[in-house]
Amino acid sequence: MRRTNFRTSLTWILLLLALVPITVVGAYSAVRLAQIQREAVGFRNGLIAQTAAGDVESFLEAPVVALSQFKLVDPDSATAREMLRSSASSIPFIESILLVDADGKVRAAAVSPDHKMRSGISSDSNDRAILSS
Amino acid sequence: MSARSTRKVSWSGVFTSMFSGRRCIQVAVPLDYGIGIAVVNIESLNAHTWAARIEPDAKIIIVDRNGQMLFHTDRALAALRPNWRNREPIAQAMAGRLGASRYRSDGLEMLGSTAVVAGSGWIVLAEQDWRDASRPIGEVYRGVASVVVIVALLAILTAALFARRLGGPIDDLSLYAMRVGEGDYAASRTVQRYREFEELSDGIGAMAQAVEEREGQLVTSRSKLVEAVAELERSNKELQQFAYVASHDLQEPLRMVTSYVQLLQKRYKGKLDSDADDFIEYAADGAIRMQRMILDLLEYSRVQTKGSTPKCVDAASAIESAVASLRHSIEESGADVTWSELPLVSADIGQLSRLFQNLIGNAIKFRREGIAPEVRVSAVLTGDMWEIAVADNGIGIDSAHAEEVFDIFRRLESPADYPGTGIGLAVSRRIVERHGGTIRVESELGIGSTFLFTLPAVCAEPDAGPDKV
Repeated sequence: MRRTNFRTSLTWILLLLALVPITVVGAYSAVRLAQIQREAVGFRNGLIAQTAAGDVESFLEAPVVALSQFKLVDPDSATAREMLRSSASSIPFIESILLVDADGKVRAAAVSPDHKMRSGISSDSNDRAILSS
Repeated sequence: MSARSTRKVSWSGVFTSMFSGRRCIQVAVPLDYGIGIAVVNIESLNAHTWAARIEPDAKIIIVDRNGQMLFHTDRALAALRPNWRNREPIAQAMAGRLGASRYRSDGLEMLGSTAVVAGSGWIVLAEQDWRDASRPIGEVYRGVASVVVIVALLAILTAALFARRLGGPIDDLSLYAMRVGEGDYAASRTVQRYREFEELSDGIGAMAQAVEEREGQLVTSRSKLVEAVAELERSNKELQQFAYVASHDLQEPLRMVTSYVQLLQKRYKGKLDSDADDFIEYAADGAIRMQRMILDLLEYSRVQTKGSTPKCVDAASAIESAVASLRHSIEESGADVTWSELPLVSADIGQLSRLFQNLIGNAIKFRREGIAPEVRVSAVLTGDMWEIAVADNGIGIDSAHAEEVFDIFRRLESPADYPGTGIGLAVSRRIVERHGGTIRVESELGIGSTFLFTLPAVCAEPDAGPDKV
């Protein structure tokens, strides 16, 4: 029977003694790292989603606030027209604002100056006429 | 719009603005006299700062409460306005389950988290491809693998050095032990660096010295033994020669003494006084007995000196010869001598016949009063030897004397009851031992005896021209 060489056995044993712990620790670290990374990515995504939701909420709040100021204003008054013009020009992402009565008739309207120029609309009365149509 | 009927703020779905051609929504707010409507360009969401704050690999998707896509980091995809109500994290959020989730999308593993925009009910999804997210982990994996490889190389190097450092002394010791084993007790040995190896080396050295001393003693003892054996052989040979010569050469003077004593007995019987007659008779009996013993002794010594080379012979023919010689006593005693099929054995046929003659003759001689002797001869093969049994129904032998019966001139019974010199079984043992076998007896007093002896079973067919008995 051929016996194992002493030096080979010793080399293997020392090799295993050195590699097994580091491999085990490395494997455990890798698995744990992946887990931590997943948790971190999930947490970061959650923060991003909540931040974005808050921003969108603020974004949507602006036109609501702008419209809410017309609650107590007569839509046919000069004040209402002035407020409409001001709101349409001050809030850049609002293209147009319409005040509609209970019968569905447009009582007042304003278009963002950018769109007015692009569409060729030049006066408030015309604006109203176009929007009414 | 629903705001008019519900009196609550409401948001429309996405549509393309007829003025700007951009994607817009309408916001409706209830007023005292009706509703206020604002058309909001949602593409401007892109301009918001959070869009720049997100991770480069992360994507943000906003869908309305029906799952209709309002915004996507990938503008081209957003322009298609797909409905994502069936996408796992969106579906879960619509079902009220918000938070982080792990799911597959288009075959990719994704990690995503959802949140709801208060008031509008829109759902914001922030998601990231796990491959992109795990890229740093891959770098760590590669780092760990590099460390493992480096450690492995260092370990191999260290192990090789360590093995060499340990293996070197072991090789030296092994070589030293081998040389000692070959008889080179004075072999030089290397001075060892480590104490344990040095002790081992010293141990082998001490062992070598002890072996050398014992070998010297052994040589001396052996030479003495050889001398003793030679002396013993010479002595034994001389003894055999002496026995032969004594028994042979004593015959002639003894025969003369016997003849003249018998002549005296015949010629002077009744002419001298009665004491003289008795003395002459005692002298004649003694001379006859001595003559018989000398003949027996001669026969005993001739087993070794006058035997022929063993040949392959049929044991049955040896028995037949023995029975023929014993015909007179067989007929006189009414003995029944039978034998089963007997084998071929390697033997001197004359001595084998003599062996059977002694054993069968004893069986007839030592028979029980009033019972006809029955002698059965059989053989059994045990290994490379035949064991031949000669069983009788005679007076038997006390088991305490089972070994003594084979001693020369040893008698267990009175000569008056059973005449003889006591040489028969001694001769039998000598014959068996000369053939390389053994003989023993199994016996029970008053029942009978079985003599068992072995002979080599080395032949398959008888040699050509068998010897005559």
